[in-house]
Amino acid sequence: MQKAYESNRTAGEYTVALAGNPNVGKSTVFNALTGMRQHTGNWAGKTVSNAYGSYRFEGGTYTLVDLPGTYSLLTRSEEEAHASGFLSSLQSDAVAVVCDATCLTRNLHLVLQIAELTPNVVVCLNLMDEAKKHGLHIDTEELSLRLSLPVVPVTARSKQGLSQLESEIARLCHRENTQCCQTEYPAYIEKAVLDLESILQSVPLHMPTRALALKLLRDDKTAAAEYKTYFHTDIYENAETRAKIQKIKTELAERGFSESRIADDIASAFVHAAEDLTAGVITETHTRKRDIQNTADRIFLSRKTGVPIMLLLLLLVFWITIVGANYPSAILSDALFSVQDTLLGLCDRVGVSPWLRDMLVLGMYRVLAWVVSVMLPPMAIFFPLFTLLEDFGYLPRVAFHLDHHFRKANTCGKQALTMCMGFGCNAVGVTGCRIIDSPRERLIAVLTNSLVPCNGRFPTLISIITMFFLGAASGFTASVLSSLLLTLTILFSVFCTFFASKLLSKTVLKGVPSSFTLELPPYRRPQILKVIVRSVFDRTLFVLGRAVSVAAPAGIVIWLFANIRIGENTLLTVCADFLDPFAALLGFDGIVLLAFILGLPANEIVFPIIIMAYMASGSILEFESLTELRTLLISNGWTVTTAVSVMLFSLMHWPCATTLMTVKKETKSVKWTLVSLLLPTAFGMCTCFVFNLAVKLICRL
Amino acid sequence: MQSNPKTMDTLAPGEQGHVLRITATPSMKRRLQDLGLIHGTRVTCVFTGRYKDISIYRICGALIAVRDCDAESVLLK
Repeated sequence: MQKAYESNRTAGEYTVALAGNPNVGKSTVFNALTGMRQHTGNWAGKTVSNAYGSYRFEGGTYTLVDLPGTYSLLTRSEEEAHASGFLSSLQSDAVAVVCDATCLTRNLHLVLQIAELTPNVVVCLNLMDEAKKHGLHIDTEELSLRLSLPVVPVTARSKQGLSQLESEIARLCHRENTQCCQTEYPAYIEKAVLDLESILQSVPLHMPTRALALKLLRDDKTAAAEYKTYFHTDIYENAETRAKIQKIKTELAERGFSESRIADDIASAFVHAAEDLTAGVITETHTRKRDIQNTADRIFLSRKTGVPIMLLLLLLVFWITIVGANYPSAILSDALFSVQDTLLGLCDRVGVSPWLRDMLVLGMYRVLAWVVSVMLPPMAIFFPLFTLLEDFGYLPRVAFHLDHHFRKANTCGKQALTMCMGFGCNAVGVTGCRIIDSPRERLIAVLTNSLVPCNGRFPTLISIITMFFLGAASGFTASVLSSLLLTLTILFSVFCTFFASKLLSKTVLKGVPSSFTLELPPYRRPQILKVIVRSVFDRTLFVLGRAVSVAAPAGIVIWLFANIRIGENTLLTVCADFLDPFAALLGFDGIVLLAFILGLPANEIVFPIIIMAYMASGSILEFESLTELRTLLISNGWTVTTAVSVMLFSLMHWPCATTLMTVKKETKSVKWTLVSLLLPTAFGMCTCFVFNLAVKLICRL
Repeated sequence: MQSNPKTMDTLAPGEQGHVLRITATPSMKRRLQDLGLIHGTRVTCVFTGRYKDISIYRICGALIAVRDCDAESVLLK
């Protein structure tokens, strides 16, 4: 049955599937083997689509396919169907099943299920270091004997045991495993499987008969439909076969063995088989590590301390970001703006025409300098801090604390995870929504994701808070106060997410919350240095690169706007004047609204555009600090009310172009993409309008 | 003395029970079974949320959060 695939296989090239439960370090194994840097996170379902990578071993090329994490092949969620389809269609020469050594018994369910599809399985026992710390000793040789499968102990983080894994994979690719342990089912199921196997002999088969027979027993309609999708063969094409299979199933049902009873018994058989396999293989001794885990959970999860600590952590992250970003920001801005004069002089010496010189230096370069000096430092600090919390395993705990509110909004508790991903980047958050099973709840999570500010919007918020709300405070007090205000701003955006989710649940996306389970993985010590390097290079520079590539043309556009004249006025004033009446309703001027519109490609450039535009039409051309920037804004009519309005609108307006494209990709619908654009925009406009109306009323009293 | 079997959501932190039967919808039932929750499995409630509508259970060594409305479908003996 493997012939079909073998024919188009090139000698020396092998495909290896990497399967495993969610959160067992599958991506870490993948990265360690291939040398790639796929992002890993400590929560269930991080890998949402297949990742491919390859490595060479003893002259052969091995392509590794990282399948989405699944607990079993029996459930019908998207990831599981995907993994199951890939494995049953025998597209791989070998399967490496990554198991969490600290939770081995449960992980073996999947091993047993995969072993039914192919005997070419190697068990990769990851997190051996954690297991040791937890006081677990695993007799891998005995386990290997009992399973009749190779078992390789691995610690992927520190790259231990990888060469043995590579050689076991190679061995399986060269010489197929012929026998491996099979799960035994209750006698009535075994009898029915035998009967079905003899019937299925007349059908062209693409997967092991036993596995197919079991699938048919559990749910023949789904099994047949899937078979058709993957192998383009209809098992039921032959009416006689169909009748025979139906007869066996009807007889079973008459004896009281319905499909659901059979499915239960099959699921139980795996659990019992796994228990038998590990009995005597795992020995446990008490260690301090386990106590530390429990103490940490008592602090982070208990009813009394859980939520206050969550808020304090948020505050701490912002405080470090604000304090840490101050100095590098000032140094960068000094350096970059001193280059500006050099550039101007250089252009004059080379003989560049004055208008081109101004457009390139005062337009493009200045916006670039702004984006880099204002955006880079907070990003380079916030991203690693956030990743550290993620790697530590804290985010699922946040989801636990926020679940009540998501349940009240009739949505899935996992939305807390995708919302948190949105703090990093909304586009990433939208993609992450794939971890939510129910299509209705997934759509709500997608549509509301941009209500939380992404990393590109944090610097804007921080600058405005620093300029307008700190008053005379300075030093330590100022930094604490601004982190506190930023935390409140974030809590407000989280509240808006709840509100918008509830609104959608009660109107266009009506429904009751579906059931889900959320695994809280053990805390793991994050690899601090690795996290810093990874987030600076993979995330910060990527986001910055995107911002810069957008900022350069935007700088030119804004310069042209400010310098092309229509009659008496510049194009900038004409556009700003046109937008002014509407923007006034929202509490700011036309230039701010124009900046938000021009900032569609990337939120990072909104604030620099505002400054550019004011400078182009105003008299101040040089400034060095936020104090002077504040003077610039105030001279352009900004008040505290304006500042609050701009912050509100920054929190809630159209998502950036990248996020919109991601929404389009994920929902495959123009309609929902449009909703994802209109929903936060409407929220922002209403909030700003009501806020300004309220301020006016209060002032009049 | 007990006419109705106890359900998983009624466990207070620190209490434990053994699974008798799961009455959830097929997909949720399978999900719980995947986590090792079958007849006879021991379940310990570890934490309960602030609003007492979600709890964390230790199931086969792992910590799993389940909403009360879902935990209701797990009957204990």
